[in-house]
Amino acid sequence: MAERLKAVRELTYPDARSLKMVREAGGLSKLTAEQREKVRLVRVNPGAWCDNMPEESKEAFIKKGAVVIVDAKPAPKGRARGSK
Amino acid sequence: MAKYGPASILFLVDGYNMLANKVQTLTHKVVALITKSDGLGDTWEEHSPIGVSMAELAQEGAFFDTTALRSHAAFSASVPSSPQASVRIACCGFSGNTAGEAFFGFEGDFTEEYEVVASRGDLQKANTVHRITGQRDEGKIIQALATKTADWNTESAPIDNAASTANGGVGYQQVTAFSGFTGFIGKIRDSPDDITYSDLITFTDVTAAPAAERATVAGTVDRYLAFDGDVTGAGSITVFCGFSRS
Repeated sequence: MAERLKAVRELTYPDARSLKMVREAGGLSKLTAEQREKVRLVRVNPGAWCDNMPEESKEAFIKKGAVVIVDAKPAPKGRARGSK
Repeated sequence: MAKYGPASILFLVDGYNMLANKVQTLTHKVVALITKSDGLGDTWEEHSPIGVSMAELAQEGAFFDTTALRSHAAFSASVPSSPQASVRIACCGFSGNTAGEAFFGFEGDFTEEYEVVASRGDLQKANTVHRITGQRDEGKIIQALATKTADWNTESAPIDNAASTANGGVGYQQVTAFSGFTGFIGKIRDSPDDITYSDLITFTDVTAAPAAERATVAGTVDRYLAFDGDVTGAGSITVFCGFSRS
């Protein structure tokens, strides 16, 4: 069973390359102006997948309902939705 | 202890920046209603709070000004004339128009009195008394009243509450000037870790000024709060936003 994360609210977070710098600084607000220019943010609309969100953020966002865990198991082949 | 002078005042009603009228006095008062509670046998008068509070707001000495967006436009048509009159959205602050400073927002505001005063040897003045209906919200300024010309957010300087809160809150947005753009969506965003932000409150699309909105949210409000402004087209906008945690 493949579990995936889906955004319920619009989210933004640093992409994988920027995350290391943000973590080392201690947060987005701790970055210098020069570092801030280098940070690339991922913007996720409600309903879109957000599996790549930072590990440290996942629990809090799931707990408050801004992100949900979805069973992304694909439908069986050859059987149309609603067929018997 | 910090002290503040007249430059630290903030007073916005339905998207009108009342300071443009050179207000001379702004008074805000909270009153706890008290009942007399002594009875037979008592030798001293006693009083007890009844658990109901009221807020008052009044300004005096502003110029009577018929320029667009000034005092006459702000108040002349807003003294309620029917039971169906809409409440107004008012915000004021006494400690500076700066992100992180305190502000007061009011759930509902009726302009109970609008008084124009003419006197010999002086310019005409306008006084107003506001009757507050519902609660007063005390919170922090997230976006200080400022003019912007492109998309922006304050996630590089969020308001840090040191911890999340669990009981929702109230957001206020006031737009005092708007030109050129075809739309503006303001959002309050929150974050538990200063790394990932999500939308907490999305205000209604603004297409003209003056405009004001009060919006509530339930549940968890994360530790960090920031404002996000998303404009459509080219132009300029002057906007204020504050949030009160419940």
